[in-house]
Amino acid sequence: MPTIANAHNDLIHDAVLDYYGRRLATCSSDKTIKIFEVEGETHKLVETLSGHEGPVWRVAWAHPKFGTILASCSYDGKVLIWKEENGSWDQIAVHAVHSASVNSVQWAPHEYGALLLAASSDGKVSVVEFKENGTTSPVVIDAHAIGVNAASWAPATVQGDGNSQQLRRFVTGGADNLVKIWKFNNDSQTYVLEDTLEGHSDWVRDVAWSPSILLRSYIATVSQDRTCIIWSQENNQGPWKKTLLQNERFPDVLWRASWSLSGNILALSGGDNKVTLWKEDLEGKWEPAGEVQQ
Amino acid sequence: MTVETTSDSQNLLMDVDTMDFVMEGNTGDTYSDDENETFDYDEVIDRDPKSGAPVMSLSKNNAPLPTNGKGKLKYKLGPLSSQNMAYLDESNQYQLLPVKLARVDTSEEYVHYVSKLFEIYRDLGYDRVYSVPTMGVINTTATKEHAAAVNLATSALVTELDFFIDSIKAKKNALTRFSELEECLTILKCLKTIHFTLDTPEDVSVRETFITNLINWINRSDGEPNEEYIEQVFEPTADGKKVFETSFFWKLLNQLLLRGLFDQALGCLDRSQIMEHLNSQCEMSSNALRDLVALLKQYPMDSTDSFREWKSLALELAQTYSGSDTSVSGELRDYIEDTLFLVGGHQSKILHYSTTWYESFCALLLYYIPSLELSEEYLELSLQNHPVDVTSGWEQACVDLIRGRIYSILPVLESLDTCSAAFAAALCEAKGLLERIVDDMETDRDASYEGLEDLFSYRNGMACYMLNNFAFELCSQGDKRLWPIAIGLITLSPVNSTSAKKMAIAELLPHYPFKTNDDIEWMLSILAKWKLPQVAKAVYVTLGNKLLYESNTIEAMANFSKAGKFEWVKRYSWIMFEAAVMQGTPLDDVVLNAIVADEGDSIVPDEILSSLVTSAMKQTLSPYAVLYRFYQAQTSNNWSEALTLLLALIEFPYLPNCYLVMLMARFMYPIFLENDSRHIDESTILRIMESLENKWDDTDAKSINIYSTMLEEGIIRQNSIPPDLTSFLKLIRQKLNLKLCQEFM
Repeated sequence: MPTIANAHNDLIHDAVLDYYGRRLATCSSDKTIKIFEVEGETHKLVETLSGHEGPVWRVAWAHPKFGTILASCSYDGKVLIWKEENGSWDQIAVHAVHSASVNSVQWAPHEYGALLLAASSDGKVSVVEFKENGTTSPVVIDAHAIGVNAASWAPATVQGDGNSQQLRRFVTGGADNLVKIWKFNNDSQTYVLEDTLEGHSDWVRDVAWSPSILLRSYIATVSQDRTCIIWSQENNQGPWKKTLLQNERFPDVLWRASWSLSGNILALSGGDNKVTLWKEDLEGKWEPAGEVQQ
Repeated sequence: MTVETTSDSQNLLMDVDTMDFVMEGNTGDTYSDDENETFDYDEVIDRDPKSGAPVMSLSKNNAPLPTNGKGKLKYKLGPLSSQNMAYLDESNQYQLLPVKLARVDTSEEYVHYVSKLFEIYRDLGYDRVYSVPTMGVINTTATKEHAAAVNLATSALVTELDFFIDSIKAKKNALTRFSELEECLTILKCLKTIHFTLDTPEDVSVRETFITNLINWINRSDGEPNEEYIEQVFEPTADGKKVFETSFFWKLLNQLLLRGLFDQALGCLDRSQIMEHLNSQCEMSSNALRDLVALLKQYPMDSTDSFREWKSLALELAQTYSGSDTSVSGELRDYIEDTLFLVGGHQSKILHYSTTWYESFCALLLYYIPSLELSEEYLELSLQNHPVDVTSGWEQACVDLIRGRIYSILPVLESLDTCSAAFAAALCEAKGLLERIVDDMETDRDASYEGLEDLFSYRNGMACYMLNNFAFELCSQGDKRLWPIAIGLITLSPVNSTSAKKMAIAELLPHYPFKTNDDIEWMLSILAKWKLPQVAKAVYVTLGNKLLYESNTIEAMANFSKAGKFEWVKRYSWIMFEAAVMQGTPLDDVVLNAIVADEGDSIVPDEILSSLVTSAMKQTLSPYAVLYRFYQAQTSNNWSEALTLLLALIEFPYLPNCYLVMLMARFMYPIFLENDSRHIDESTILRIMESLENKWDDTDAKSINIYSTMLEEGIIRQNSIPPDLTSFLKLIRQKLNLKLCQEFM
């Protein structure tokens, strides 16, 4: 098994591959972000980005149609936007609307433009649009009173009622044990709470909305309570159906959930230092598809 | 079955094509020099005991990862199955662990195998779909032709899997993969034999094909009896007994006969020298054995009629021998009699000498009544005497196949090889072996699901689900050679909903790992075929950004233009214009200058230029074209032409205000105004004045910025030009007034 040794000088918090899997961005408590070029099993460090004043929690690549752009969020309460041009990386924007650690950052589906979602320990989520003329228009919403741990965009879809309007939604998971669904309201030009999903009995550590290839899209939420819940909604409307991924609790806390590109594999990583992979079968049941362990 | 891949163990393999044991130096293996082979087939270290899911280890080949109390392993799936990242969010653990998804085969051989299977499936054409047979002569013919086509495709699939296994068996780290594929092959050989052989119409050799397939399946499954065992049987015994006087010899001989290994059985008889012994001891036994040899040499492959004749002779021989007096020992006589009865199809002898259910099953089909209609009966009989070995994955699958339970083998196949499983499922569906499960599941589902179209809907059936799943798997391998197959599979999959296919292609295709222009052309052609203009636009923007990053501005603009990003095209046109003004010469860009040069002057062929330059680009690059001609006029000292061209630029209605300042400071003032002796006619002076009146803005930030940059970087001479725009405008006006006076003087 190949490894990238000593990538950082302190705790590593995120490692994300870009759209084509050719670049890897990592971030750490050492306050830096590292960019690696990936060629097969070779990972070549090409840049170290410094700019945050605290541990960097997460990084997110923008869709390549916007260029080579990376967003990072940190304990310092800021989201920094980085851009590579002619081989050199520059910090091109700072999004500083939060008063506490920003725990999660994610770019919206490219159809919506350069739109960034950030979730913070100050209990708020912010959506900021980077317009082509260089201006930004942030929307800040009170989401979870004790703090927002993660947020994830829904895939780009249009409303099923025939008016072909974009159904712009995202999900948040908080320290209040709740999962909330937010929807863009065109009239008020802000995001309004569409649903509150109760099911976890401890902090929601991660939320992940599955990609859009399948009409049956799902939200996976993982929690400190050692459960993973799959929330599904038919036809993008109506009530959310709650399904426990497995009835018995996992051996330890679940930290992260992520979907494969095509949305047919779900990966969960947890406190037992095991990664479990899951696949949905033809009958809609989730079955183990693999395991990665130490 | 577990087959070693080391050379020492090659001799344990049975070459089922020639129905012979593999001899040293006759393996046909070419041990490729795979020193540079980096693909590790055996990344799976274990299987989860409960679910059977593959288990991979992060610490394989590494030092174990220490954990400090609570584990904090984190993991993120990447866009490629080979590129996923794991890391420990723990102190003193600062390494990243790139993880491939388990059982993702990225070898050249696999790509070849996948391509071959896709070709087989694609070439089936309309026969990919099963239609329920109806009455009538034409329909009967069509049904037969359909069966023939699907049977042929299945046979080709099995052959390709055989080739694939052959190509990897000598590779390092391929033991697990090899044995999984062998298991898969055994199941598929059984599937082919039972469900894809006997209904082939107008095939005179259908019985021969069936028997050959049957023998091939049984013997490939476990490679028994192995050569080592045979040698042991033939070793001299301690009590001085001849080999044919031992029970081991007759067990071996009968095992070979049960498995249809006629040549090997005859070889054993020959090697034992039993004939020589009997010739001198017992004429009756000698004749019986000679007749047996003759019968075995003539085992009827061609038709059931000839089998009946053959079987009647075999039975007659056994019964005659049984009722005759012999002069051999009682034990030897019993052995001979048992073998004769076995070949005559005696059930109890067949069951007695079989060690496995599949040996009995094969022998009953070979010697009792060779009819598949009796297969379930034979199977139950065989299983009563020799139960399924539960530690062997393929045995239960083959039992299910014989019982007609096709569905249950698909998950088993999928756990062994997704590619083989998907195509096998597709062929089963094409043959009508997989009934749609819609009706059963319909009532269980929420009615609101009605009307939804999904590529993975249970309504489309298992084969469709597996084919599409496999297509998605191919797209996540990062190998562009697999993409046409994946798109082809989605296109060909028997899903009625075009919009579901369109949606999947729209989502997947932008991830295509393009490298060359041909790749891009292919990607865009697919988008055009599926009428996905919005996706094509996103692809053009991505390409544009990539080309821009590679400093290929013109091609980037062409792509932005095709994406409808006209503002971007305009912006980059002005950026190039500005850069060319600043440097005082045309840009060092062959393509750009070829676009704006007169026809015939260009070193880039016109047809390439015309395919590259869009009408939007022609418009937005027109100021640069004028500037280019201005430089040409300047170089040839054609000052009047140069002034005309400069004036055209200044008067250009869409010229940004800041560029008026730039053109005045960079060219008009130093070339035409500063030198009092240079003549400018009255109308030109008035036109310049009018432009200044309309566009000059001292307060415009961009104009101020551009002017100060030119001063700071020495693009304009500080000693002759004032430091601010207001003063510069005054100076220009003074000069223009002077020129005007000179006109009237």
